[in-house]
Amino acid sequence: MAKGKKKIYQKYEEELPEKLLEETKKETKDLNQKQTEKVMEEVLKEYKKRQVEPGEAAGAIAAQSIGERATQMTLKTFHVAGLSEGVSVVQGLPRLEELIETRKTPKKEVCRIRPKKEIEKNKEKVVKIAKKIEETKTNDIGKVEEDLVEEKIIIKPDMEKIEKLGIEMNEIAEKIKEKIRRKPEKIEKDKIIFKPKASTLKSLRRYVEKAENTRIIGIEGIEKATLVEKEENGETRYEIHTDGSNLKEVLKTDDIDPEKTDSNSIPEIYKTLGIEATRKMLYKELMEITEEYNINKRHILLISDALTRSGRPTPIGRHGISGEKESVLARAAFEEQIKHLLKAAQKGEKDELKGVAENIIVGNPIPVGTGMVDLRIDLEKQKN
Amino acid sequence: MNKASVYLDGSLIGFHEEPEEIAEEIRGKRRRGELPKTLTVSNYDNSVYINTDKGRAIRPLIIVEDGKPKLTEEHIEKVKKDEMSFEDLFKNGIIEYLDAEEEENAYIAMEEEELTEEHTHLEIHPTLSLGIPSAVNPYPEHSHSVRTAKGDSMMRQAMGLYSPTTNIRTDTQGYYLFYPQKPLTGTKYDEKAGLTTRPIGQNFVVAIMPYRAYNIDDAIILNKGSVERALSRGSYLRTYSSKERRYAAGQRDRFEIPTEEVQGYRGEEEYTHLGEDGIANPETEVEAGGVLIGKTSPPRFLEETSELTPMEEKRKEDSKTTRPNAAGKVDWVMATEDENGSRLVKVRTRKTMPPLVGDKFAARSGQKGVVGLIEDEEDLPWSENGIQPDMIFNSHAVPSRMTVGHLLEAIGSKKASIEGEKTDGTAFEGEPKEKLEETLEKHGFRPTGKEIMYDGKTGRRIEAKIFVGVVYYERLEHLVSKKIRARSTGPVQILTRQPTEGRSRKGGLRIGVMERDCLISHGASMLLQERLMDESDETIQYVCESCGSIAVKNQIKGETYCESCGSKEVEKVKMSYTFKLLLNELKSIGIKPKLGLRDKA
Ligand SMILES: [Zn+2]
Repeated sequence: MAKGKKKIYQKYEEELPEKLLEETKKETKDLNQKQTEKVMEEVLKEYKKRQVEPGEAAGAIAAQSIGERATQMTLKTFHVAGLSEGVSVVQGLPRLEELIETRKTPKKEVCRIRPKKEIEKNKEKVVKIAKKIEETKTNDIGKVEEDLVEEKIIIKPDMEKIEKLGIEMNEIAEKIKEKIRRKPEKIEKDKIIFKPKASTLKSLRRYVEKAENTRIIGIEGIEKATLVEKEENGETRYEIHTDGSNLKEVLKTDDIDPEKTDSNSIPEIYKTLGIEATRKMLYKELMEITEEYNINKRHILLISDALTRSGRPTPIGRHGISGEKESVLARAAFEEQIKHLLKAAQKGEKDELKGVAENIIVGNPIPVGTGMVDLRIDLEKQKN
Repeated sequence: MNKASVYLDGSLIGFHEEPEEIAEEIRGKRRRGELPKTLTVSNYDNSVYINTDKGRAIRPLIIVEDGKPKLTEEHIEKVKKDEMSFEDLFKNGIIEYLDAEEEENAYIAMEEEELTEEHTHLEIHPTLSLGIPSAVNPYPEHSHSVRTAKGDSMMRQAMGLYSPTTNIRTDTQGYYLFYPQKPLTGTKYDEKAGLTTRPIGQNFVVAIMPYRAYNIDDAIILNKGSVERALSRGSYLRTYSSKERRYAAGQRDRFEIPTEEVQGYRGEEEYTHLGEDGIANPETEVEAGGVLIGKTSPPRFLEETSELTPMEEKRKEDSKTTRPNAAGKVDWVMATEDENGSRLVKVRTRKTMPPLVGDKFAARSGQKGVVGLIEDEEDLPWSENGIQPDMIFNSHAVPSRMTVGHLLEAIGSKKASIEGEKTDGTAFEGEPKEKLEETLEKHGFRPTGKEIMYDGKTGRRIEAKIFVGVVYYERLEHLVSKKIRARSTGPVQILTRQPTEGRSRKGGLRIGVMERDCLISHGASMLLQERLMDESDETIQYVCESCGSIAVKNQIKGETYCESCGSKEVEKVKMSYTFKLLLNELKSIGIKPKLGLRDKA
């Protein structure tokens, strides 16, 4: 690269963001020095034009931009067309509420599992993964009987079912052994016999119950795994959507793409993947439900930031952002006035009058827009 | 299974094992005339509801058994020949009344042809499934049902002649039209519903076209000539009443012209239009807030004044005045006695209300609009025949609302005004469009209803043909003259010192939370400051610099000091009065707020 051009780029390093600079570098590759200079000037001008002006009430505008659309959203739940019954997903306004109320787990928790790229178009293999994930209990694959005379419990799996799921008798015995903490007495071809030391009928029953509810295969909390067909570039690929969610365990499963697998539960994402993932997730989900309303993504980015900036998901509202405002007056103006005022009095809090709400209450100009500017005397110049 | 509960007029009277059987039995008895015909019985949710009380809407239906209606040609002939009455049809179990609840158990066919074995009833006529407003609405089946329903509900707000006894009525308020007309396109139910004797509107010649941007967004243009010829002109009547109340110790109110001694005397001029009896004379003009009935009351605490002060008893002025913004002429005075024998006087005022820019008009098809311009007659477009419209209605109001009934009514009434005969627009069987077109063509009009028109201002022919028809328009009771308001300065609330709210209190327009958010979003900090502070409840308070509490000023000595610490270092601070109130309220719950002062940077 010519030295002169390099110098030009260097001049703009401070003012332009890295990514933009890289991009312009690529685009101005074939231009000469003078042309490059001109382009860079234009780029900087346009970049500055697009910046938020100082004092812009970005939060209020973001809130209005989303709030106005939210009033148009109808309460709708919509069914994903799947290969089997399909998982119904909460959409629209209720979902928006769920997301903004970041601490609540959604009514319908769903894990969206993307199989590895090599197999995502192979229906059979994806079905296999789904079967492996779905929580299956002894109850689902067979019967547990009790022998009152011999004080035994007998597990009688449905041979057809276990063959389909690819489970061995030994596996079943092992799982139940873990749960009831007794070694199996005998493993036969079609039944497993346990002989727990149960002196009373009641305790025997308890063992039966435990055995019935033992998870043989699958992941805890995943009640149902449904195949979902997705069209992409004219090709069909498959995803697995689950009823109930357990992201931590799901991510450990083989043959899935952990980078593309997620859950719709914000608390769960935070628990397993941390705050940065939560922020990204909030942004992605908010963009998705407001897609048809065409909201500028900067508003949504701002809201995702506001919801996660404290390092943990903070809901909007009484227990979150509004309830944790610095100003006593602003907090009291929002909800539970007396509680906030009394608490502030106990602590001897001081209101610095820096926010919008408190300045309106007092009667001062708000520190936004035209209220941000003020005159200041330059004492140095006064001396001369 | 649980026994079914049986309710009579909403209260539980017992239980029964076979709810269907008991309901059927009661129904049978009603049909045989053993029970009153207005009794209805319904059975659902394992309960039987028997209703006999007043206020239910009931309607007649033909009973159907085995897919055959009980009413035969024979019956109809008999009724026609007066050998049988409508009442007899009930007695013989041919028709019966159902209420909304019993309809839950019925399966009603609209037409005889569609009867099946399962049907229990047959509609006497399909229109009988409509309510009264829908039934008198012409061509409702051609418009979207939501629009028709809107039109129906607006009928209730129309000015008209709602009672034939207007002259002797003392309604608190009422709106009357001077020249109400029968609709030219009506229905078979008009007479029964009273629309012909107590009409609710007038037939307007309507041209459908945009007009110089004065009728955008549902606005309408009225013809000034028509308005001066009393189109939709009406009056507003309001009745005020006052009583000569009696008190203990033989004291009582008196209707009279208050004298100067009376406490709260308004001045001689205020009482000049009152007669000797203290009541305003009919046909005298009364201003807004002017006295209608002069009245004085005895002093309230009689014993106290007579014991403690030797002062002569002073009667209180207690006159009845017109409401603010409600001037008018005294229309009628009625003097009578109430149930206790006290004198009771009612005075009715009248105010002529010509249509003004801003008044609301509506057609029965749910097309409503506000007057945007009252145009000089000579400037309005005219047709080949020299006809000028009473109203111009914007064509853009039609397509999205799909009020085809409105257009059908327009050519229907046009036909009616040519032929001199009412057009029938009854739901489901109104005169078909083809027939209307045929008649129009026969009389030399275009079948489409369109006409060539000439611009009133330029005299040039308007390039497009304009649809002209006659539509029955209602003037609704939302009159601008009752709603218009403005305020520069005026009364404030005592507690908060903020401006009052509401037109009757000369209030301002509220800047609510949403409006506030808007100003914040615009960064219009100074405008917000002006609206919420400077023009609202701004106050200057003295604040103690050493302890931070609100200080006071002794106006006589001219000195300021802090009452709580005695310091004289006090500063003037501009704040909103509500904030000062908040400080006081904080003190009242045991919190001491302190204000820290700082020079403005
Ligand atoms: Zn002090």
